[in-house]
Amino acid sequence: MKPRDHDPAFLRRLRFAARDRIVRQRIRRLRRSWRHQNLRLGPVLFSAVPLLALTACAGPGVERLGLTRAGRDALWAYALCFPLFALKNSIQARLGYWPDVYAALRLPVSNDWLVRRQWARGIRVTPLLAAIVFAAASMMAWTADAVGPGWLGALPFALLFVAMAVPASTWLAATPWGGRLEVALWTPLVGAWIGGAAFPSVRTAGVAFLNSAGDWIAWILPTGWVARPFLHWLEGGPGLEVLALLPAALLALSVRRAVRCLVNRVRPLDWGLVRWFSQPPEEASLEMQEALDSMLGEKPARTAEDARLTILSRKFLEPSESPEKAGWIERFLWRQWTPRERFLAEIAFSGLPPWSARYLKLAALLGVWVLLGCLAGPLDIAWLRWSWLLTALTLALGLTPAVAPLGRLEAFCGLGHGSVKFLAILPVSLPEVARWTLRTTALRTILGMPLAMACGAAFGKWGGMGPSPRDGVLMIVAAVVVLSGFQAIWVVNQGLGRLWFRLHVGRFGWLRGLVTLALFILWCVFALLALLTMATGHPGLGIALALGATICGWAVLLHTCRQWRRGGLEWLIPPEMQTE
Amino acid sequence: MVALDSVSAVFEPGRIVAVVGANGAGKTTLLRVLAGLSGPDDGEVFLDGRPFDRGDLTARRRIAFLPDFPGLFPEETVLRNLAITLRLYGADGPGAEQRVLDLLGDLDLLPACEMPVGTLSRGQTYKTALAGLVVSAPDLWLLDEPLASGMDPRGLSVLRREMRSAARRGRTLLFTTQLVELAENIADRILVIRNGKVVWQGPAAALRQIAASPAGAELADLFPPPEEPVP
Repeated sequence: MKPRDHDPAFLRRLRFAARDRIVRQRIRRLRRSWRHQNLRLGPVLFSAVPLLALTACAGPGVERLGLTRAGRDALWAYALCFPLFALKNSIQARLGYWPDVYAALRLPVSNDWLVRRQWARGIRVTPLLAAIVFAAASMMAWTADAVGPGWLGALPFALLFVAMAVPASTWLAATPWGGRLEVALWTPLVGAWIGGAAFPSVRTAGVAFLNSAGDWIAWILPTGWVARPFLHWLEGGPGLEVLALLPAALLALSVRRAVRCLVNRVRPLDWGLVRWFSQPPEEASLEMQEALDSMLGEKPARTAEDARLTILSRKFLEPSESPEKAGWIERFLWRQWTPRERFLAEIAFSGLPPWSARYLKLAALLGVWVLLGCLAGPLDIAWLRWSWLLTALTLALGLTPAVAPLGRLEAFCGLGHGSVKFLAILPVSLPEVARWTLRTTALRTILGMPLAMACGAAFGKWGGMGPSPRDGVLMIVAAVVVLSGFQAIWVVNQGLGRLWFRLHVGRFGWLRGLVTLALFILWCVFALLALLTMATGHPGLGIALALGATICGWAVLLHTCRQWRRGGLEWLIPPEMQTE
Repeated sequence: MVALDSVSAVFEPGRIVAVVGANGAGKTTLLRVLAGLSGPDDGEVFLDGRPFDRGDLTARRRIAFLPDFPGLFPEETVLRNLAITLRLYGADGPGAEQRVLDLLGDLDLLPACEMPVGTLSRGQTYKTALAGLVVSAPDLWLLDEPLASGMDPRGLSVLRREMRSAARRGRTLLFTTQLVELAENIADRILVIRNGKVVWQGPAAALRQIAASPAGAELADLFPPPEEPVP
């Protein structure tokens, strides 16, 4: 059977297999997460970003960088590897983690058919990649002052590249070292990029390496087999480089063999069997079994007698969390909470979140960042200084819950779909949840502030790249104050879209809706003004404006809680409850 | 368009009331208003003679609303969902475990009691929520389409038994349905609602008689004529 996307017969059989409800739910859940992981644009961006960045370096900057002809060829051959790897990743994504494989296991399909079908789906990004390569080729033509003929040749170049890239990426997908090769290419790129921007010596060394080894690199990398003849054609006619097209053509012709190799080496049906049905092979580790169990959410089947003993033990009615096992922040908060709040936390988190571990990680990261600032300070490069400072500020704010507020709690305490059922049906009120949420946030902020403020001071004192220590501290304080106002809004509606754009105003009323919207806009204005005044050296005024933003945010919360109590929040009822 | 219009009704303790009406009649809206999920444009809901405030958690604990698609935590197990409900209603005292055990046994949910609710069928999910409601024992039960909830006959039998038992203990029960015959069997009183208006309310036993009389012309369509056999 020819693999065809949206094959009606296949989809029909798939649906038949997925008729089992549990199967359907699992597939839907997996497919959702799979979509998150494999956005169509992902591979494209993955290849476009480095390609365009290298284009910018290798384009007008070729002479400035001091690249010779060989160095330039090597750089282009290197850059064009990224679309190739994007294609490989696209194929592998569909082969290695395909949610519908569970359904496919129940179908009369062979591994051969499945691999070919998924391969066909994987190379669907090819036209997009061809467009990117075409853009890169146009850039090459531009830099070679051969715009007219260059653009004429760009299209055949892009097509030839794709013809070569499809089998090349298939070969890579069929081999276990494809991923390692990719990492091996990525790491020096990122290192050279950062190092080259900060230290001229690194840049010089990189350029010297490309110039000296350029010929070899362009001959070794298959992308060079296509790029080099094109570059030399742009310069006035191909020389011996045209011979490189021969291996490229041979590679392009090997597509059937590559697919056959893929079919022989990749066994998604077998993986699916291990993953879903059978015990893992004997050599599989215990961790693998646990991971599978965790993924499937399955526990060994229990007998009615087991269940009876569990219920009679009353363990299911006891608090599930043992704060002694948690980190210091969690233990501290546990002591501060009332019994009712502890219960709310138990429901909201289903296991206390790892706040302490996150705090330690961020603190370590900040230390490294301050160290980097000390090292890079003498460079005095404006854009580097500002990007460093903004990253440092974000990291410092991460110590408080200001930028990453509450984890799963967001979905619980906001008016999002997850909390709707809870708040609507069970005897829990929005004001009490909001109060508890904000109290928790405030406590976490207090715990995080000393270190965040110390970091703010360190940026100025030792970093040599930020404002003065006092300004650094005030900047942190102002940002936390502004963001705490936003947190109040966040509590009102995790995901503002539901509130602003899909508000059922039947009970809430346009006027009350507009008041909420106006308060939110006021928060934005105050926050912006606070930022501007801080940046222009008026920290006192900046703090005052930040307080104004906070008041607006809290007003949104109070307004909403009041309306909730009056029964004015009809969108609390999820669609499935609105049967009539 | 008004979902409910000039509805006025008193629901007495110890009664099972069926709210009967066609699709879109406003049955669920009535239950939502009573549960405090929606506020009426005009008028008020009273609980024991006092205005019902959804912010008053003591009052909220006296009411349980069971939608036809129950709101449970899908990633939590059946037992965990029950524990959350029981603890929030303050019904987790001594003896709760035996009650849970008995109910889950009756509902045939024991083998599934440690499974995440998200992996259960609709009927099993409804049974879980029903078990939580029964053990919580609120004063006012609001059940939305319990007879069309996907429960098997065994579950429906338990539902009827528990409803009657709760009524005997002085609880007030309201349930919506479109099946008049079943409503007559289960309920003490029936409230017929059409286009948001209450067109009739009275003893369940009297509904058929009224509908057959000239005065009950509005109710006649509740009892469609028997279908002719297919030749």
